[in-house]
Amino acid sequence: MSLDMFIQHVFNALTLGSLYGLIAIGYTMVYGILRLINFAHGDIFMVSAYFVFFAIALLHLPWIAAVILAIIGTAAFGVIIDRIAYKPLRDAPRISALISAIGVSFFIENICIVLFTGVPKPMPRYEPLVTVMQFGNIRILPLAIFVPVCSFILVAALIWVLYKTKPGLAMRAISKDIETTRLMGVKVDNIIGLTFGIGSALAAAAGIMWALRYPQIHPFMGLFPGFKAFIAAVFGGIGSVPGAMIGGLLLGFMEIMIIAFFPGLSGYRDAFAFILLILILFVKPTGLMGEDMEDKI
Amino acid sequence: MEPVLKTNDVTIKFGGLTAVGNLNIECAEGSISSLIGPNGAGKTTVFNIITGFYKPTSGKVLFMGKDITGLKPHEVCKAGIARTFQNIRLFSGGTVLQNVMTACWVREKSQWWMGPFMVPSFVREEREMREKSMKLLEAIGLADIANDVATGLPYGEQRRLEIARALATEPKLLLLDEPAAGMNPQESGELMDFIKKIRDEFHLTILLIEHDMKVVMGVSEWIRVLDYGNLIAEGTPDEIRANPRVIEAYLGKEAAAKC
Amino acid sequence: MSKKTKLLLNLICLGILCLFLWWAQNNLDGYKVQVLNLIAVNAILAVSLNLIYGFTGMFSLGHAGFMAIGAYVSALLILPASQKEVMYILEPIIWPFSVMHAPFFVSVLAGGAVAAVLGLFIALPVLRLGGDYLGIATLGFAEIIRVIFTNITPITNGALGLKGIPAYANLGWNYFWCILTFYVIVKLLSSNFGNTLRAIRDDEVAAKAMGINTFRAKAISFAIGAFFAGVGGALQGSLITTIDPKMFNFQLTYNILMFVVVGGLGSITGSVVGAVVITILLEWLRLVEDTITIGSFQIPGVPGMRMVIFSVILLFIILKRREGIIGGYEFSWDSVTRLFNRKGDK
Repeated sequence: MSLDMFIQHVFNALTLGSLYGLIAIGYTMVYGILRLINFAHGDIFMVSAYFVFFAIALLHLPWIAAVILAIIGTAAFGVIIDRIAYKPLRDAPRISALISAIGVSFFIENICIVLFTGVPKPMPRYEPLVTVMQFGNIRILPLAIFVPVCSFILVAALIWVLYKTKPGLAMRAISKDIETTRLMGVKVDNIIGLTFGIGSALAAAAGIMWALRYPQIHPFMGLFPGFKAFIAAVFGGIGSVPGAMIGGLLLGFMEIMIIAFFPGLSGYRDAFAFILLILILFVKPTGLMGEDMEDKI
Repeated sequence: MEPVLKTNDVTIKFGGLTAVGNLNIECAEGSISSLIGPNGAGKTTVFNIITGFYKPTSGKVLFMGKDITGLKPHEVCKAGIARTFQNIRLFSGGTVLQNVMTACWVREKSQWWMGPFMVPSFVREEREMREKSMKLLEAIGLADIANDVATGLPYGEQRRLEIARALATEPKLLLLDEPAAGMNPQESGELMDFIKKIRDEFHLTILLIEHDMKVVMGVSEWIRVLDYGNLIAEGTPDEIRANPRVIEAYLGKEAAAKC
Repeated sequence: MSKKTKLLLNLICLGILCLFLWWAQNNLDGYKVQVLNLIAVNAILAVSLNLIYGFTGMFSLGHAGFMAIGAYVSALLILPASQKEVMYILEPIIWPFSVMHAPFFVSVLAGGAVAAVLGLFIALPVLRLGGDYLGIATLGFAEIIRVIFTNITPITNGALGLKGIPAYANLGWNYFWCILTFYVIVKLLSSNFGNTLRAIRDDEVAAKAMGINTFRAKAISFAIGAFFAGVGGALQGSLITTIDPKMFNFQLTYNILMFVVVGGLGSITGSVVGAVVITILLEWLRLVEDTITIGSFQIPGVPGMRMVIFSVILLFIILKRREGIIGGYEFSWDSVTRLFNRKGDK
């Protein structure tokens, strides 16, 4: 493989990995505080793309406004899902919340089929980011630089919030011990809502950038990125925000590089992430940066 | 005579913390003895090591002369040690009878697949296990509520059921983890008689963890005191009552100085 | 009630069922018969998942994978060699899959057996995990199976799938397997082994302390559940006569999960009720997706609405009545007697 091809692959991997990472953060934060795998997170990611599409196609808003609307709308959507489908099950066995999450996921996917049909909608092009740039033999999209940089900034901002602000402290406290945090006077439900909001907003950013990169929007577009991002979160250590990003990047690199070096395996592309998952769960279920959560006997 | 239970320098470390250090204890056959100490002293940890839930960092656990260190919990039970738990762990989806019958499984000869084939020996053994369980419930005094849901029972009866369940595994050594927790003086008095009765009736050796001093003093022939994972004293109830180190561990230096 | 009376009652019910099925075969239209067939297959699938999840407490999301194995193994055994040769247009089918052939009963059994073996293979590493992790690991395995089946074209015909599978799965066979499944699982669960499975579900630590080799018991339960999932898959393959990797997706597992949750976890009666109710509901909801003609008005169908309503029902059950319709209650002749005795007292 030529150096030029390799560099292109690296940029692809960086883009894909950053997007996985942004989505993975939503999973990891919600799991960290509620021990719930939010199956609907991938669908929240998908909804943001539709938000942007309709903001531009129907409301004819300029890009900036459309993006802001989409992010706020998706964040609100995430919080509403929590209020309706997860909050009533806080005290129920964990499996109930999981089943509810699966139900919400299917509901969102199918309501989108009903409302928007399964026919993929084309994402409007944002020319500055999707006009190919050429450096010698290397062709990359500006998006390939924009996505990693943007993701890095967002994650850095989130880490700042987690470690330098009071709500962030509350989030970390809840992930350690929710009851005690409640007893300390923290309004746990509000913080949980905030967590869903932030996670969904990041997923929205990822969804918009994803749709710019792969411009077909359809109701099931969040399914596989969602699964893979979840696997990335487990890989990096479920509950750890930096871990989620690192896991996402590693998964993105793995996926792109395996296909790059072994094109014959491209049919198995989607299986790699699942194989990685099985491997992690056997070797180190707590992931790269995770902590042990033990059962008291 | 060979002690039923013997630990040789059992130590367990969790990260940098030594939860139990160089523990050497022995339980004589047929004895009722206790393990006491302030909260966090490592008593339940010792139980968990004996029953195979934790593997000690070093040291050995010998049961009836055999080394059982590192055996899995179900293997330890099969060897003849049964236990109850600090926080009652009954099988919530089952009846009183089912809880006891489940514990009979370890002594059954039938194989899991025999049910659908209606193998005669299986059918017979199922009946025998049911009878054995009912007899056990009668001995414990819970036979008339055999078909009630286990977790619906009053607290004291749940504790007795947990003990009955442990007895169904036909143990030689019974470990009771705070059996008197949450009991009023009348109930704990009945518990003391109950413990002595089952020791005699079922030919057991009993080791208990307990905080209720009345029960400890009233039922134990030998007491061991643990503090911060170390054995700081052992002896008869009278010796322990007067031991200044024990008083210090529980009540602090000033209380000990007052004695 | 004596054992003999119960046996008699069971046999009478069996007889009534047989008569009903014979009548249905000859008097009901094809669509209704198909629904009856689906109910039998779904009941098998529901009960097999309930064994693993409702009774042993293992949240497995891999059922579609076991169904896929059962369906493909069975289909490859009952498809005539000539048909297979013609169907594999991407890549020719390889030996021995090209020539292997077996009667229907054997093919279904084989489908279940292969699924069970895979179940054991998966169980070994995966059963140490608990709760959610077990769910996603089994889901992962099901997806891996799906991807593998899409890619091993010389064996499975890849994404094209298999068509024209002989439709041997009629009311007789489906209900035969259904009754067999119920018999085996009910017998297993009513024995002391069944008690150990429930004990593992309720409190695995206590179960271990009471001498139960929980790993072994869980592996057995998982393999049996996988076996019957394979049987269900095999029957379904022969019922709908075409299979392809795409249909064994997460949504299929989710449907079976619905049968179990809606009917009530940990109750065989619940699984039956759940399977019947949901199968009929799913079929009835097709109305919503097809165009309805009333007089001269045409109300257009809304594709996707079926699953929307379906997921709303699941959400409703999980939020408002998570014990399901039956709520853990289990039918038995003794409870019927008790009901009559109580009424008699009045």
